[in-house]
Amino acid sequence: MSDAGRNTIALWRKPSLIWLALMLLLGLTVGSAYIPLGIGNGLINYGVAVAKAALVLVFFMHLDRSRALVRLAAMTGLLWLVFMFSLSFGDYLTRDWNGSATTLAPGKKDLATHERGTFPKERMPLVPRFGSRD
Amino acid sequence: MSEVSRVLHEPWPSVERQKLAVTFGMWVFIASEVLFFGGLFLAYTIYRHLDAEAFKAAARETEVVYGATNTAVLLTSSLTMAMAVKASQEGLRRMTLWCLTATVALGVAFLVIKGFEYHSDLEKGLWPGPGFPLHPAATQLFWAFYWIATGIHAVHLTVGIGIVSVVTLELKRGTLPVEATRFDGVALYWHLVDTIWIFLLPMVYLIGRS
Repeated sequence: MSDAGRNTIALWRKPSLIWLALMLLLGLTVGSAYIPLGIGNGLINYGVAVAKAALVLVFFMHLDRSRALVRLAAMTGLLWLVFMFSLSFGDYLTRDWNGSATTLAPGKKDLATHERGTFPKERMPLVPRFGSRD
Repeated sequence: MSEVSRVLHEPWPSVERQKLAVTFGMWVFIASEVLFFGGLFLAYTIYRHLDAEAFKAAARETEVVYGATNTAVLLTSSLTMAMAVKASQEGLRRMTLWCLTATVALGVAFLVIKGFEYHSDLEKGLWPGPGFPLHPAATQLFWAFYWIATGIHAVHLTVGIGIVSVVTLELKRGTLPVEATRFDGVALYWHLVDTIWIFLLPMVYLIGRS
C-alpha cells in the first residue's frame, strides 16, 4: 500500500469509531424505547441524546482541541438554556392549578385530574386546559 | 500567488488567527441557534408536562422507521463532513471533494425521506385543525410542535445543503483553496443541524412507544 493510502486510513480511523459509537447509541435508544421501563425510558432516551450530542460536539466539532475562547462561546448557549428551563419550570412546577409537583391547595384530591385549585377566577392559569374540554 | 495569500483575508494577520475568528464567530451563532430551538423545546417540555398522556398518544402516530433512518443518515453525514475538514487540513483536495459531495448527498437523502414521512403524516390527516383524527385535543399541540420543529430543522438543513454545495463547487473550480478556513465554519453549522436532530429523535419519535 502506498504511503498516501495508509495516511488516508489513519485519518478515517478515529472519526469512524465515533460514528460507530453514535450508531450503537442510536440502536440502544430506539431499541430500549419499546421496552417498558417506566421513567427509565425517558432517562435512557435523553441520556443517549446527550451522549450523542457530546460525541458530536467534542470530536466532530473539535471542542477537544479548541481554545478556551471557543469553548466558552460554545458553552454560553447551554448556560442560557439551563437558565431558561430552570426559571420556566421554577414557575410551572410550583403552581398547583397547572398540575404542580409541589403541595396542593387544601381540599384538592388528585394531581392527574387537572382540576382547578382554589384560586379565584381572575388568577386562573394562562395556559388553557385543552385536555379537560373533550 | 502563494497559497497563504489565497487563504488569508483582511483583517486577519495570520491564518491561525483567521481560523480562530471563524470558529469563534460560528460558535456565537450556534449559541443563538441553541436558544432559538431551546425556546421551542421548552414549549414542548411544558406542554408535555401538562398533558403527558395526550403527548404519548400523539407521538405513537409518528413514523419511527423514517425518524430512526434519518437519524442514521444525518449522523453519517456528520462523519463525512468531519472527514472533509480533516482532508482539507491535510491538503487532500480529491478526498475533501468526495467527502463534501457525500455530505450533500446524505443531506438530500434526509430531505427525501422526510418528504415520504410528511406525505404519510398528511395521508393520516395529522395536520392540526378541524377534524383532527386524534383525541384529546392536546394531541394537536404535539403535532403542531412536530410540524414546526421538523419544518424549521428541514429549513436549516436545506440552508446547510446550499452552503456545502457552494463550497464544493468553489473547491472543484479552484476558486477556493483546499486549505481555506471556510470549511471549519461550514462544518460547525452542519454538525449543529445534526445535533438538533439528535434531540428531536426522542422528543418526536421515541416517547410513548413502550
